[in-house]
Amino acid sequence: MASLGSFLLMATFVIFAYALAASVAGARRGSRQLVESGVGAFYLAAAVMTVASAVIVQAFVTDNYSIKYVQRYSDQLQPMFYKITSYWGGLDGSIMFWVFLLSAFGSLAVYVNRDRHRELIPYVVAIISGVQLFFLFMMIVHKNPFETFLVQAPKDGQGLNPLLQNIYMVIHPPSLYIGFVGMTIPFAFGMAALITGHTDDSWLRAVRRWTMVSWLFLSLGLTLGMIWAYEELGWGGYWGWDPVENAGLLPWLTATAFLHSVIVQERRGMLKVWNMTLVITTFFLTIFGTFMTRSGVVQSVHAFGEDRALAWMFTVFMVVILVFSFGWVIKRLPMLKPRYELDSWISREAAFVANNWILLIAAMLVLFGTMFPTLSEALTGNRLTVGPPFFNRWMAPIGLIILALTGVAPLLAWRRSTLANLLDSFLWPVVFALAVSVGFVALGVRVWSSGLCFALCAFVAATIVQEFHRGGMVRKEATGTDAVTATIGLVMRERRRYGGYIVHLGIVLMFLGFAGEGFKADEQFLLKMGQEATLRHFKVRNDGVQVTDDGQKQMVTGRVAVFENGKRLGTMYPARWFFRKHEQQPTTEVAIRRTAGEDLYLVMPAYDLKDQSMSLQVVINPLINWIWFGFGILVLGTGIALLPERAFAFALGRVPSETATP
Amino acid sequence: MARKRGEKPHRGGRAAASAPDMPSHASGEIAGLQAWHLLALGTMAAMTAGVFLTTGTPIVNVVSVSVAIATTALVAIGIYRTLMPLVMPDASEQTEMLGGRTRAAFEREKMLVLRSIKEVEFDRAMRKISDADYQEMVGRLRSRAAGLMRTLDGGGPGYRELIERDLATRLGTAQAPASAAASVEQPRPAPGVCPECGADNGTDARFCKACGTRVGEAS
Repeated sequence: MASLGSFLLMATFVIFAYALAASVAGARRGSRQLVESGVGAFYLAAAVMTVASAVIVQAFVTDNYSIKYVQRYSDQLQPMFYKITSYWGGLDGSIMFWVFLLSAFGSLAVYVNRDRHRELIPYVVAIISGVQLFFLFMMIVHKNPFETFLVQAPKDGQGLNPLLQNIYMVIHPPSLYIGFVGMTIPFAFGMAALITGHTDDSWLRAVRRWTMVSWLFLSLGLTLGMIWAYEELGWGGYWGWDPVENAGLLPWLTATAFLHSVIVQERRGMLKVWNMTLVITTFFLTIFGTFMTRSGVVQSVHAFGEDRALAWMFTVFMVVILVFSFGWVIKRLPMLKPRYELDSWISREAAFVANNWILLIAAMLVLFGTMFPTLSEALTGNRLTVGPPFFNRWMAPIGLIILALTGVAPLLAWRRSTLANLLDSFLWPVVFALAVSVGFVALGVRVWSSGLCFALCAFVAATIVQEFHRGGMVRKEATGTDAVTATIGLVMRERRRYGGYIVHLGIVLMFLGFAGEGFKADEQFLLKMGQEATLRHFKVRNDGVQVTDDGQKQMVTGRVAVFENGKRLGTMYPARWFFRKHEQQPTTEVAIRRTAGEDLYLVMPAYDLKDQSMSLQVVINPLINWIWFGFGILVLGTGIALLPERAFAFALGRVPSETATP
Repeated sequence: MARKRGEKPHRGGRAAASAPDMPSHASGEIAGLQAWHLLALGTMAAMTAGVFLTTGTPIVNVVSVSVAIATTALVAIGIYRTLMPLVMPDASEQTEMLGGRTRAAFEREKMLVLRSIKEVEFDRAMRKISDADYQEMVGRLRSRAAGLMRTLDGGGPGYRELIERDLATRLGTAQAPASAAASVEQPRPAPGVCPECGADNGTDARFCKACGTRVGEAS
């Protein structure tokens, strides 16, 4: 089976090479036969990668430890579910998973657009094939997941890292990969538009849904990572500015900018160079993030390790991407001239430009901070660390600016806003925000940064409510329906706009959760059996430690009685788990009591079974659950924006043709 | 142009073409069934047989056999799609790969432009656009929509010329596209319409957004 797997990888390499050559040759010669054959080869490569994926999964399921990758990331005691998901548990398999996903997505994108954007398809196939050739080359010559033991294979495997045997860690990598891989599609269409000279809006329409879905999965991957860090790592937080975390955040920032910037090109024919730059940068950052986590240039608890040969391969590939992509941008600059110039800085166009700049600056700042240790070591020989204080100090004001823009931009008029526009649009949101600010200041909340964050959250929420209300009223008058039907019809007719507003509402709620970090309480106690400790309005008592075993792992569980303002709430069970063959890497099982206002978070880092004493870390995290709830709203808004044409047709009532309503 | 049952939508801008343009589809059709229908049915039958044959063995074997059959079918489809275009005769002597948007693509673009008009009108009702800007934006969009409707009705210069040239080629006449076009009185391009490729750029455009040709003098 291992030989079959290796053969399939090599065959896929040859097929993609043919697909690239045939598509480009067919496009240049005007030969439809060659192009169709190239597209067919593209589909064939996806089919062969599916077979290769099935082979590696079958090897995991049947405990085929002759394959090194299977032996490294699985064992006989591992549950079947985690055996299957071990496919992407290691570096080699994760690269193959990347190739598989990209071949599937690429095939779907080409199939859907084969008629609508025929002139772009040959070069879309060529670009994606080129990217695939790099990853396949890397697998074949350096990181083959089907590599076997030369001598007797071990009888059992080493098993997957216990930290990864968790539902969030099953969903998190595929979600991030879907987001990363999905960004290749807009890049391919953008490059095809540049190469063919079709630099109008058509390529944007082809990639809009792809970009949104990829962005959604990136958001999901990042949030799942945050939840995993919060619930599994046991340090009481959810984001540590770890290099691997930053690797996922970087393309998310530029993709967010791209999703907004395309609106300006579609409406006003402006920012064409910006959009090309953003789509290239987003794709580049997905490759750069992969490079960071796999080459060893950064140190992280969840990087794959150090590999210099891999680092050099990625470096060459990234240089090729930059030179090729921006070379074409420079060549096609005359065709990327804007239809209009910026008329006023108080306009929606200007707000989107500001949005682009601030998100790009945020991405560059995170990139600088992440790479600084490596750069300092290369230049001075000393590795200087950059930790959360640096990132929090610079990203807090940037985040607040982004939040402010979230509320300001939708209120501004296209082309230029008059004083009357500004007064009419901003009055009530600003009044509401000021009222909220005064209230929080009166309660003793610091203005910087929590107070300002709360005020901006109030402002943005008010702008969203205002938009829904005004739009609903306009539609209600035009259609004669009731307010609810009119609002539903408005949202369904203007899915992209109002779905976007719902996404913004989700962002507001997430920022509300982030602001709660400023009110966090964290203390560690050493408690004998029966001893109590108090933190703010919570009291905890050590009721003992017990040991159990389920065959796969030994579990040491603490019993902690919890009281709030003197009233007993119940018992919580922080624990430590020791997996067979990974006894030196126990996992921390956090006990969390969740409410809308705060979480009570208990960790048991140490214990003594003889005298039943425990070291107990008690953390109070105000407002943290609004982050997860806000993400749910974000998903809802994105889903609405992605809905097909005829959803909720009952509310799309007929209106007179001259009526000014969607 | 009405489609026959089982016939795939015609690709490309050559609306005058009929059956000979799609030999690959004609050879794969049997009384309304297409090749991929038969392959899908055969695959399902093979998978069903595989499940029966592996009854009583561990579930892993059943799933493995099913997946193996399904992936083999996918590979077979891929090989067919790769090799078939190379062995079939070329559909047309003049295969041009660009500008061949289908009628469906033009219809969709028209729908998107009309929707953009509605969005601009909504923005005006929401007081997001001044009246002067509204007039300019809507005027540009309406001009573009009108151009698309003319193209869809067959009145666009680029589309008509393409059809006549393709027809002449198929009928094996020596009539050159230029002479064919000369026999038909060519209307003067409307303001904003590119004289080179026929794209509608709006009344205020100075350069064509599709091919970069200057359109200012034409208007």
